[in-house]
Amino acid sequence: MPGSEGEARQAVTAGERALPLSERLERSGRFQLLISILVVLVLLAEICTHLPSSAIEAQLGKPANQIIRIVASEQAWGVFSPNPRSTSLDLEARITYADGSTDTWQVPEGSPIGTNLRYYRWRKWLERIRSDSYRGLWRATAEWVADEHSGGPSPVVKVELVRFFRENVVSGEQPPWEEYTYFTLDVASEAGA
Amino acid sequence: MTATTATTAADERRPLSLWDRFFFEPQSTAPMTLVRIVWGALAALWALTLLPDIDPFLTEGALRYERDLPAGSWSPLEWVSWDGAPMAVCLLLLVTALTTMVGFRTRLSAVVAALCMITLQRGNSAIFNSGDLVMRQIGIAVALAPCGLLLSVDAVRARRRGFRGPAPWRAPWAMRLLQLELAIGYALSAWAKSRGETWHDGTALGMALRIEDLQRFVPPEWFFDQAEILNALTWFTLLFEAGFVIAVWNRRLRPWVLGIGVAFHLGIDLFLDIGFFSMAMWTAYLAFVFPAAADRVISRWDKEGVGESARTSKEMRPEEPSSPLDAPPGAAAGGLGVSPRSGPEGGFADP
Repeated sequence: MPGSEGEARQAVTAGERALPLSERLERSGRFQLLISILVVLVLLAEICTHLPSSAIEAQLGKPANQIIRIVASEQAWGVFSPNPRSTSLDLEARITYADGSTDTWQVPEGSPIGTNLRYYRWRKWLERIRSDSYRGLWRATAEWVADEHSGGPSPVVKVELVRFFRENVVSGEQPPWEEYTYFTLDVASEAGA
Repeated sequence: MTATTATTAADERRPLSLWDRFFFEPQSTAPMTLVRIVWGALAALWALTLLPDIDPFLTEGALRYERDLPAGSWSPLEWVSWDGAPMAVCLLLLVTALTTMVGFRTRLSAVVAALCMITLQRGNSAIFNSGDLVMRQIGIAVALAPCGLLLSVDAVRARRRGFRGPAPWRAPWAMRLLQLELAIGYALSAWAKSRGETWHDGTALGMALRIEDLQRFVPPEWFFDQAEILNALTWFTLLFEAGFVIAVWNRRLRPWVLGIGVAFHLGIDLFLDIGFFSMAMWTAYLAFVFPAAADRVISRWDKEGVGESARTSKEMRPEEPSSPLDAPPGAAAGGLGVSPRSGPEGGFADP
């Protein structure tokens, strides 16, 4: 379309203005009808992708999701709903080297102004990577951590991914963090195998 | 009243006519020009902050979350096997976001920038949040709307080639789509929250602020002891989100609704570290700025594009039909597709 509009501009002579394609289309009744249908379709599809579990959602949820993905308009308006999560989360990787020494990798964080615009993506990743539905990423994460520490005092032999979680209370002192090792990569035995 | 005028008035009140007016009656492109400039700057920042983490998040074999794409989804990064593709796309986004901001080859720049953002977001769904999706949505609207007619390199170049006079008014359907997506989005958010018990008992806000991995600036401890304030703010959130979809279309209420929204998202941005979410919402709010007000802002730097009469006379233009519900009956005096800015003398083409 940019090419057509460029040509339209070239066509201007003696004070006349040839309308660009986009403007010509906007004035066409058929185009207006098409746009109207598309606008309604996209908005209805967006609504249908946010329906609660119901008979209508069972019928329309799947096609609505397909439509919304085709037009790349998927939205996530369910922030903090139906309830904000009640737990705080953290994650670390514990690295063991061949000489018995250990190291810890933590999710990178930045200052609350400036670099937070980079590190919020790591926080989002943390929120997801710890959950069972992202199990497929656990090994890749452990392998990446091992690779990041390949310049350590000796070869990495083990990487443990550890979840930290705490059930928050609104008022008063927060309970202590709990931890759980949810994935172990035994680099040494895998290399031997 | 003559029979002819009675018929015309009746026609003006027909639902279809109101629909057409809302989506297709030409108006100043100044509001979407503001959206374009701010979105371009923000998208460039978005790309810049993603660059250091392209590897490992988007490079094959590291932390890229690979899974079968859901039905209907498409991701250009799946089509190429070159490991450098994500970095190239991010750099291309940085460049095209900046060219969109300054309005150089605006339409092409905006289309490429929006495509780059979609490509990157679909490359690793594990690291992006709802604010990133709003950013994408604004980008799509900027790509669809004629955003380069005012305050742009394209406008300057067009004038150098001899195009004179103010920029033409254009159908605002892409801006309306963005407005409706935002308004409906708030309503959907309120609907989803209304199903949660903590939003009912008024503790949701306190719970959200306690999530340590989302905290930016931590509220003082005494704040969490103010149960009444936390209740009121929780219910205010519900009220604002549920009311936005109705109130924002009222001309008198709109400035108040947007003002409250700006403060609301400032509060979210201060206490929760959720990246570009609040900034994206503020950018989308610019689509709701009244065309006359947006014209006044733009005319500080682009007097010719906005036009002298548009800056000084409100009588020249019909009042904006904020919605089909409150459109003045005589708003479409010129008829659909015919604007005071249309016609051969109407300036230059959409870049």
